[in-house]
Amino acid sequence: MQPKTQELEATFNDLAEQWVKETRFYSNSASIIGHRAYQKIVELGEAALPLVFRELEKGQMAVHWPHVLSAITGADPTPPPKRFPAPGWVALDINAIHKAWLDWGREQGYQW
Amino acid sequence: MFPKLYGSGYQITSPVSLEYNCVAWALEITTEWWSHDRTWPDSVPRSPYIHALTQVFELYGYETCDNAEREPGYGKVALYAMDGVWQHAARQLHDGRWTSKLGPFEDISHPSPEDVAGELFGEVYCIMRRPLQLSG
Repeated sequence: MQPKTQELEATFNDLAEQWVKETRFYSNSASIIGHRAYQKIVELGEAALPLVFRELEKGQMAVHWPHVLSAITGADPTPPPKRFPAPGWVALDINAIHKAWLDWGREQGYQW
Repeated sequence: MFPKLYGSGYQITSPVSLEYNCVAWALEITTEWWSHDRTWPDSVPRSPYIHALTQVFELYGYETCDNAEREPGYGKVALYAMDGVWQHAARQLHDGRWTSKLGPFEDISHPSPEDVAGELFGEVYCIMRRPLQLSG
């Protein structure tokens, strides 16, 4: 591993640990992405994407990492929302979002 | 994270699940993650603020009330906010205890709404109730 890569990974790991630790019980997306560590992770940019995909693949914080991926890439591979039987109630499936991002990452050639 | 919870007699009551969150659990739903950018009613503003969350519960038949005591014939929820942004929702159980889903982690039961209030979820913004026949 190159020194620059090691430095990036260490920075990412520190920020990720802080972000997840301090927001892991949140349900409101605004609170999850309002954390200062989230902004710093996004600022790491494309070089951090393999590290983000690696975290996403772990599964537990699948609510968190798609926010980072959207912010860095500008992409939105999430499947269309489904509608509840009651009219006008829109649902996005967390597991489907999780899978869509992992598939997108592989299609784009990212390795993690 | 929850200084009032420790020593309160709380219990873990479910496995970890990403399928639903606190708002869904308060609405007795275990298949969706409710947030303004995930599952949300079209008729309620897609806003992270507490006023939007109270509108969601109003759609489910809840109205604000003035206490968290068990009241025969009614089910109650507690909504939490910090700086005007909703942070959590808890639901009263039939025995008067409360149940909370902690983000993507477990459900717990705890004696009072204040047990999970504090630095993380903010304070109880309001208590809402609805007739029990509307539950489920």
